Amino acid sequence: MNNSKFSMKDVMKVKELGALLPLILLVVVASVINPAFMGSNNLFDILKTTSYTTILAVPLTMLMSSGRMDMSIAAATALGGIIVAMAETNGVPLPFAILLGILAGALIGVCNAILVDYFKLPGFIATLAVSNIVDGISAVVTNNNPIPGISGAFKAIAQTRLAGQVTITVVYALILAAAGFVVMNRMKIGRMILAVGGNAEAANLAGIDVKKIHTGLFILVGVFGALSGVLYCSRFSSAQLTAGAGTSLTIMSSVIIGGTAMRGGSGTIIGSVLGCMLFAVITNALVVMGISTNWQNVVYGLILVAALLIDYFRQKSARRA
Amino acid sequence: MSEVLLEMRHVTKKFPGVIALNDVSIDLRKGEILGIVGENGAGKSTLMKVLSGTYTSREYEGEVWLEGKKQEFNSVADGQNTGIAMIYQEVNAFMDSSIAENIYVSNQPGNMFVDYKKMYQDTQKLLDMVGIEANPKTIVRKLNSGQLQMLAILRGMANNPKILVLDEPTTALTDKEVDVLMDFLTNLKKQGVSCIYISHKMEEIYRICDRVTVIRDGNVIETRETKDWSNQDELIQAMIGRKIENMYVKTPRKAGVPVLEVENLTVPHPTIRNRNIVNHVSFTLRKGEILGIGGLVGAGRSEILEAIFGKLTEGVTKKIKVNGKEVNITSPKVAIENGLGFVTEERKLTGFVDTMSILHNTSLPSLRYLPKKLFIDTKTEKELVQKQFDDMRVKAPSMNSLVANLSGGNQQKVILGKWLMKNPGILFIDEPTKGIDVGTKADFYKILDDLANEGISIVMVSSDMPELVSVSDRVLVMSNGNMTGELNGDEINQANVMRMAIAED
Repeated sequence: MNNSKFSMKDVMKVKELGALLPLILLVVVASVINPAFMGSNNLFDILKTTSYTTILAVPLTMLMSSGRMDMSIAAATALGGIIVAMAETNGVPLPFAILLGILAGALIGVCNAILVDYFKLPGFIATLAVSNIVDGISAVVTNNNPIPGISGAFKAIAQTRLAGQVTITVVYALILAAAGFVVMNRMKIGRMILAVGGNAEAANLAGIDVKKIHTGLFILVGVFGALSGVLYCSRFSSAQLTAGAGTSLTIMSSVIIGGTAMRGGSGTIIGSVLGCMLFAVITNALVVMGISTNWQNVVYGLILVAALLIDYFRQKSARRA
Repeated sequence: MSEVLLEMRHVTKKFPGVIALNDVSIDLRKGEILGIVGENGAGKSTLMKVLSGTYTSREYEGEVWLEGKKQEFNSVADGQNTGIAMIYQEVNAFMDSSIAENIYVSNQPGNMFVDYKKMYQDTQKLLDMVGIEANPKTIVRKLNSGQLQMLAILRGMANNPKILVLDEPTTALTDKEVDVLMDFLTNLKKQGVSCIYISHKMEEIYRICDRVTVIRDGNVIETRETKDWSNQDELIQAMIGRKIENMYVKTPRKAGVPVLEVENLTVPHPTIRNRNIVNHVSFTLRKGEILGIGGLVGAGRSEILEAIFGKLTEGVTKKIKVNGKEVNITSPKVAIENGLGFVTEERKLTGFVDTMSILHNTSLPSLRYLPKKLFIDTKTEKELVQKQFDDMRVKAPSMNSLVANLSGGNQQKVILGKWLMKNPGILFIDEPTKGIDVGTKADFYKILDDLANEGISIVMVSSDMPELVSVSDRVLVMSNGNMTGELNGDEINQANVMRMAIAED
């Protein structure tokens, strides 16, 4: 009789559903409207897009699980690419150039952490301000021009293809997602991150250094922001001011719709990857279905609203449970 | 005898599981100052919340009559409009507005536009009346704590109330300011304004109150003319004199060597400048004893624990020795490293992570100390948590249930279990049984007694008098941030604790 262990209620509790269901629906609809959607070229393209956002979404999932957010990711992406490209084109060996980019990303993270965790400024506004400053610096150092002329080795970082099809960034993203999953689900630090996000004061009293965890995660997000800038730069063979433009909000949306709570305390790496894939599919489907790209922002905004509403109802029912 | 102005008849107020007020009747006459005294949690604040309209007339049983008319308040504003002015302990002023703007908040003179001239004149009159030497245009942030308290009273006066209710108005005042307040109230009385005066300070009660009502455990014990209470001891006896149920266990035991020595602990007051909430406090905790800390709410008891544990750090000065070795506890992390544990008072706010299960909450303080450096050894974790789960007899479907979904008593058991899993030598417990039903309370006393017998040294802060005197091997009493006494053996009784708790420094 009571064989069915999975009731509808249990199914609803799976956090990743918020991204998975619309993802399946969208794939079905898009492939019906235009069978070319399921073509292997198109699918690999979606994977490529997903890989770029996943590299940012994984560290952001950890940061948001700890109860913080970061609006300066896109700015870190742009600056990271610019610094590495400038260094390399001026004769700095590539590994050291990348190291400089990483340092810049870390510095952005440190600034965020100081403002939010030591001066207790609201995270959204403070990181947005940092984002503005970083964007400004990028514009000043490049004088609004792209930086071309990077080496072949640099280009190979993101342009290499495995088996002639799969872009290497997909491998990077997979490795990073796997690492993120292990950290959050198996490691002591992952448990501590969730405790800090769930109740910072209780975590502090249990002997967890809350500021240290927040600072570390802000730096992590900054570093991966810069690294994604390196990838963009490699992909387009030049560093551009617009690399990553507008991604701060879409990546945050991906993370939230994937099942990570806005207020912290719960996070799922798999959900975030699905969320990234959802955005990639939507962008792609709009093109494949022949809808003007002008609609993109409208759709992105609607998804963010949907993600926030899902988060709201999830929190509400969690509190009632 | 002058006419009765206010009557509260047969007021009963129940909270889930607790009767806060049980058939309480009091009356207040015109031009009278009525003192209300009682322990923490006796029901004084609840009674005043009924009177002020904080609890609407549908939320309690009984009636409130003012000047012969039955009143049904639906909001605090209703209470204000009928002439009842409440002045609370905490001062809620608009810090960046002027004195005049603070006094006239919802009732500025003038119709469409504020008549500032009249507002400033009226404010000046009020200021002169209470002797505050300040301009009506002065920004409130510049006032000192005593002036702020007087301002709160003036705010109440601006509505021309018939009844002024003061709840512990003198905690922030200096002796001189207390004198001014006493004169002011005596003056008001002559003008026919009645006053309800809630205070723990017996001296003030005797000085200005015409009659005194004693409340205990939600019941009115007695109301007498002040002069008919022969002395303070008789009043204190009436405040605490309940029978002690046989739910306490205390095995006779001998305290061992000092495990925690605290020297000259000072914590600045969070809101009042140039005052300490804990003022040069020193004490020693010995191995295997339960050391109780008694005193009134706000006397600085919790702050002692928080400062030692490294939760409070700003402006704190302390010298602490654990097991004879001086340690510098800069954060809870360091405290835990030195074998301390802390069951806090506000368990929902600071006791557990509400997004986490019993399993994950219990292992949290021990996480760092579990085998393996980076990864969680889930097998060991489960075994250790299971032991605490069983020992504490937590009533829950499984270890994977959320702590947030448990009852208060079971939550407290999980919190105690999480510290015991870390094997602390020293355990701080702040209000161990707050909001916990009687049956579970008895469980806790048994657990605490066992822990002490096993050699764990416990510091327990408690506002529950019978608990404090029955569970503790030794009691320290705090009053206004100062340690006013230590009680040993037979000296530990409620009257002695109360006497020290209200001692003036």
